[in-house]
Amino acid sequence: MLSELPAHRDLLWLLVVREIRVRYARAALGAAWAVFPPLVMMAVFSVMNFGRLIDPHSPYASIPYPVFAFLGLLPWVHFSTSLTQATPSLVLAAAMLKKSRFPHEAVPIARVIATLLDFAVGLFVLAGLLAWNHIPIGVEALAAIPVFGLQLVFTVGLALLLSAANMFYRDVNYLLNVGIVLAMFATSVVYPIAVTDPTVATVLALNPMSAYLDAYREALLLGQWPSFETLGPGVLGALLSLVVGASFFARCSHRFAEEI
Amino acid sequence: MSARIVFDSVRKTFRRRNRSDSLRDALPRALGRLIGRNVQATPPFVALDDVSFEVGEGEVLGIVGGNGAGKSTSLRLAAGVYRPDGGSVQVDGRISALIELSAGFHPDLSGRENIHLVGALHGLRRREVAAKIGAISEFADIGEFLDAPVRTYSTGMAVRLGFSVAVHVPAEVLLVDEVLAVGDAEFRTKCLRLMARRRDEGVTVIFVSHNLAIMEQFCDRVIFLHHGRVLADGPPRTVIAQYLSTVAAERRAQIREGSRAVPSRRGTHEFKLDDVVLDGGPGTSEGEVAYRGALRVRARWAAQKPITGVRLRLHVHSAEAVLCGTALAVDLPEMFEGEGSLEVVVPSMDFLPGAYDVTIEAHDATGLVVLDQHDRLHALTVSGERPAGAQGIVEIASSWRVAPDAAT
Repeated sequence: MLSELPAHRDLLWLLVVREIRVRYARAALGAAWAVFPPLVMMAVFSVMNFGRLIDPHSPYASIPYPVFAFLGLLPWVHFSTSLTQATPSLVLAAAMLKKSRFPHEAVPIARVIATLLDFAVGLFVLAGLLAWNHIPIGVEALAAIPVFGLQLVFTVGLALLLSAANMFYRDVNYLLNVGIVLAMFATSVVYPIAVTDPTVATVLALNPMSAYLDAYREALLLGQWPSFETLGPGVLGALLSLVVGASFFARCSHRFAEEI
Repeated sequence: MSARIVFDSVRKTFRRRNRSDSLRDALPRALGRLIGRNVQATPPFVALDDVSFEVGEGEVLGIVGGNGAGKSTSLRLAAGVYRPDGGSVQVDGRISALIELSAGFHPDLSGRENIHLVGALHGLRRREVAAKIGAISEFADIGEFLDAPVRTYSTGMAVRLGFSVAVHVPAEVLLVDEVLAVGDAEFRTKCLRLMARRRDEGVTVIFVSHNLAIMEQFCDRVIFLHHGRVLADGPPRTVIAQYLSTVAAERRAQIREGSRAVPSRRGTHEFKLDDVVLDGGPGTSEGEVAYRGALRVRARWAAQKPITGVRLRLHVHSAEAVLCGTALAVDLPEMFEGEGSLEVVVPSMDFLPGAYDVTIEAHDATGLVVLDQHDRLHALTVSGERPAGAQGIVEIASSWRVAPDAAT
């Protein structure tokens, strides 16, 4: 149960440390590698001139496209890496699951937390990009912090759901790898979601990830407090994801040790 | 004595393994069920059925049983890793479990980090683990390897570390599965001594091992699991004897039906032994002999073609497949032709009451060619009451004299 986690915070912490150690073991550059995925994607989408998709009348038209893209890519990469890392995590932790009783939630959640290191490294690149392009940061930027909190809740809920489902059907892992690519283009990662067909855009506006990314951009690039309209789906999405993910996980976690 | 572990009518079933873990197989099944087609469901495997027992504070319970009897499943239920499908499992106190040796260690992390991880899995705080690291690594005797990645450890070191962590984390319940199957004799003794100390401190132990001599010596009580049911629950000696006689009876039945997986008979058969009878004399059934009674082993032999020089051997193994003794060895230099009979007389069967298996074999004159070997093919029960306090295979005749030094 999720409620047992606080008592096992030492375990969670050790799992996070283990995750980071193992992920970057024997890599000379270590966690510095984390910079590259969003940076390379930013470069690719810039060269492919995705910037032209931004409406010239939109407030983002004056923002250099690489900054616009990076601000979407950095949190998106945290989201997608967390899920691709967390989904197979329980299967890989078979030995632990068969050995002792502990809140199994710690396993996928540790992977989401460990991915924060990559995100933190990326923040330095973001700060550099903002300074390089002379984009001023106002007090409104602070809004990004609680929004990122919501994104984490949303991510943890999905990570719990997917990792538990993957214990029963290993297809989940493969579906996720395909789905996450599609999801990126259904989210306002490298272009504002409004550029799509209006009906499609209305549906896609309900995507909580778009809500978070739009909120970051409003707070950091436009210097606005994120509007309720932007954040609404994000708040609902985070709550729904956590409730569904945690309860599904709690309902089937006692079967994990047998399913391996 | 209050009960620390209570199993109450526990039932545990498992889905059969052949069912695959992919949606490709699951979807057609689900569809079939939707449209009402009778899709054949594999019945679950019943690992434990109506199992009830209690273990008290400071008590050591042993579990014996063949492969698949439900021993490890019982331990996993007690550890809380599995949840019963029926009945209830109650465990009072913290649990330390050593199930599947050293499993759970991460090869890329050092011994120290793994100790921390296992400690945290047991719900220990970091300080508590740190305080124990010295004792743990000293007991495991891993020396300077403590800070090396576990992948650089020898198997023995990893096993020792696994055991050491399990017995050092503070717990009221200790579950130990087959730890003594590996490791050298010295480490085994150390393990038993430490487990005995834990027991004396009031720790409840459930102990699973194939080493019946250690079970008999170390356990206060033993239960005998057979195909997921408790067949016996009582003093180690009685229960282990019942277990051994059940094993022997099943072996005998398998041999009779010819369904033994491992062929127990081999050789060139130029010289064959057949119709082997173990005769313990009047009042005993076939394959049974009274303790210290006379045993006659009779057989028919047949030589396909004349053969010069045959060596005959008769071995007795314990039910745990330990060779207890080669009873008779005769080297016959003459030429054998046609058919005949042979009889071996053991004037006094001195092995202690229990289940044994008899091997009879014939080699050629060089001793290199197996002509016919009945490998543990003939079950022998030595019947009677074990002399009080007798352990092992034979009772050594002895007389004791204990006296104080004469005052000077």
